[in-house]
Amino acid sequence: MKFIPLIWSGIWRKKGRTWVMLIQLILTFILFGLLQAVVAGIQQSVNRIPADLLVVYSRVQAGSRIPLSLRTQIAAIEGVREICVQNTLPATYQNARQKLSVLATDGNWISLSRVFVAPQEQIAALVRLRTGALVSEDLARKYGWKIGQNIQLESPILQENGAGAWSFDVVGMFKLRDGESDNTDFIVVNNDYVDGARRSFERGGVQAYYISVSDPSKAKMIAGAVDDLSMNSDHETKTESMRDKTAAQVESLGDLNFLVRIIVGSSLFALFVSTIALMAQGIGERRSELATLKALGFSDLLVFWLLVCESLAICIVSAAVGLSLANWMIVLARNLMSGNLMTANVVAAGMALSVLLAAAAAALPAWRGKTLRVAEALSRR
Amino acid sequence: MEFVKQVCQLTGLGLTRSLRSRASMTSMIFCIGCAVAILIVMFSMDTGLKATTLKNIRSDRAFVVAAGSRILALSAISRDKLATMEGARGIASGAGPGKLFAPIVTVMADVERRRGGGRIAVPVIGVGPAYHAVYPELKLVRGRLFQPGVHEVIVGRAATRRVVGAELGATITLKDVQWLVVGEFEQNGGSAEQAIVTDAETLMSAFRIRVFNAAAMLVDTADGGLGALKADLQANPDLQVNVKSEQEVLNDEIRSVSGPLNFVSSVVVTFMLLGAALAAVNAMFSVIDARGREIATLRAIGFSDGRILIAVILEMTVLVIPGAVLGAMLAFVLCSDSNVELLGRGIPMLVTAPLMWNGIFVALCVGLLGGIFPALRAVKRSVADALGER
Repeated sequence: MKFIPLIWSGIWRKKGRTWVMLIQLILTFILFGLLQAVVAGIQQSVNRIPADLLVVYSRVQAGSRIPLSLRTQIAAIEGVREICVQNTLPATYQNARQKLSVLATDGNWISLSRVFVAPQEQIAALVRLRTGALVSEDLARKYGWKIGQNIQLESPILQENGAGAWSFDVVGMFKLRDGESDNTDFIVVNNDYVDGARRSFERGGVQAYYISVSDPSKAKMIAGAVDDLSMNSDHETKTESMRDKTAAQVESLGDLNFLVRIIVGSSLFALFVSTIALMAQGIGERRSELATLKALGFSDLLVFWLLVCESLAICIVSAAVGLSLANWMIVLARNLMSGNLMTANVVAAGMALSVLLAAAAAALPAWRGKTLRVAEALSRR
Repeated sequence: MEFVKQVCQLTGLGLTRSLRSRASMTSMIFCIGCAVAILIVMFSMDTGLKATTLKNIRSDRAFVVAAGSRILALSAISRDKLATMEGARGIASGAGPGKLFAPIVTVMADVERRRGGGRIAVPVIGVGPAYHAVYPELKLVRGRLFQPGVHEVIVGRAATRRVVGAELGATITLKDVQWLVVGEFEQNGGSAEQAIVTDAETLMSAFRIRVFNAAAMLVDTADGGLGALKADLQANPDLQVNVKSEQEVLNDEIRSVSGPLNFVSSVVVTFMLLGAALAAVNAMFSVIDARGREIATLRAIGFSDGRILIAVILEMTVLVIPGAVLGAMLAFVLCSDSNVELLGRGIPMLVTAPLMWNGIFVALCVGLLGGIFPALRAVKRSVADALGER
């Protein structure tokens, strides 16, 4: 404890140099934080998906629809626990610039996806009221929607009477299970209502089915059974584990991890070299001071630790500042990325790196400080 | 003249002094080198992407895509629509009976990666019979063309190196079906070399696809050219298609990848350069500080502040050069002949001479701007103080 003032004065011995070193370290840790957070965020988005969730979509062409009539057949397959449909309609509210999506599905979608939550009685209200809608809390806040309010949306998907205006009654709100706002910009409505009201030739199709299975280890078998239902028809389906599908998309990002490692590695290496150089120089200039400390009775080891503590303090402080600045930038860029990116792992890795960097950079110069000969250092001009 | 001579002498004197400070010089070389290397590596992807994509561009080649689709992969056109289009005015006739009009369907196939294992997506292009006439620069270097109806493919030179089982005579599994590799082609280093090419109908039945993505064609300038073709096809409300020149199509393709790529590169490079600049400035500060008495002596015997200022800035700019050159060379070695898999495609990394010059030039600017601070410090101290210092 009593050495803190000594360490403090050692750090600020040359103000300009310390500031430059701090800024340099902070910049590196911002870069580290940003890149690692993106990689971690991508991995996290895969892990968040439950293993028992399968998605069924058209094998024929991406985006083409499969018949609603498959629903009862799929639900009858052994091992299928729950099923819901998905139809997404683009829509706007009040003016063409306020875009949102309408997810036409079933009442059990919220519980099935497990990414979002809503109060039980509000989900029940959606099932009861044909024109009901669960809106995301983000949208409710943005447009000031209240439960019980009727909202009018405009969509290019027309109704039977040719109108593009759709009316829904807000019966509840849902939010991300993790609690953090995510710019969720869609509302959940009943597919029965939307399918019944749209133009007759467009009825009876869905973009995808989501199914949950009772035993994730049998997911492959069940997926095969679902695809067999439509084999050799003109609407063949493809069933995949939701997690595998996302993992494949992540894999297609390819060498992102590799690039991040090159960049972070080389910037840390450059920083390492320059920190060693700076520390070595500082200690070289302070030979006579260090010798005085030793002459006053400080042990060799104590001098070594004093010097290591100086570099630790600088590195840890700049890692903390750099990582929090990176976090702040990510929050600003929320529109581009989603989810909680600055995870505890990233922070822990950053702090560990800073300690390693400090120790590695300080070891050699501090060793020279430790082995310094008092008489020699004091006599040298 | 006298001024230039003096500044040169001062710079030379400074250089001989600063080269003795090994710690500062090492740190300068490493930091500037790493920043320049990363700058070149990051932008080599964009350079490689643009160079290979635009390599074989032809002004008389055009595409029809579905209206509203910006990139080919998201466009869908049915078989019967394509059949009506083939008769349109403006499409060139080939040596044979048909027009130079080739429907194209592209799928991404999941294959095993040669380097480092893992799986990557590789484009498999299914083409109509006229394709080779529409793309005359596509040359078989080994083997023969695929035959329609059987599972045979030809593979681009770059794809052969990326994918396991893509060499001549081997079989490759695409969508649970074994395909025999019967040929290997080049396109003067163009982007088609990243792909596997086969017969459209065979591919569509194997992948159970019912629609094409687009069609490529050569236009006949004598028969009205692109203008006539556009007027003919876009005016037909049943077709709902756009006619685009190859230039337009490729620009859109590049933009979809190049935009995010360059954004990320710029952010990363900015941080690296700032960090390197600070390290270099710091190293220079200590070099100048160590020479306090010498500089004071020079000023005492009559060298003006302006000359010393310029000499220090020049000195720093020169000191940046070895790091920059080493960094550029390192990037050249790292990137030569390598591909990164990014955003679902293989992006060749291409380090060109202009790119290397740009990297070195940016480093020189860093030296020039960064040199201002130590230079100011050198001339700000009072001569008496600096001389009195031990």
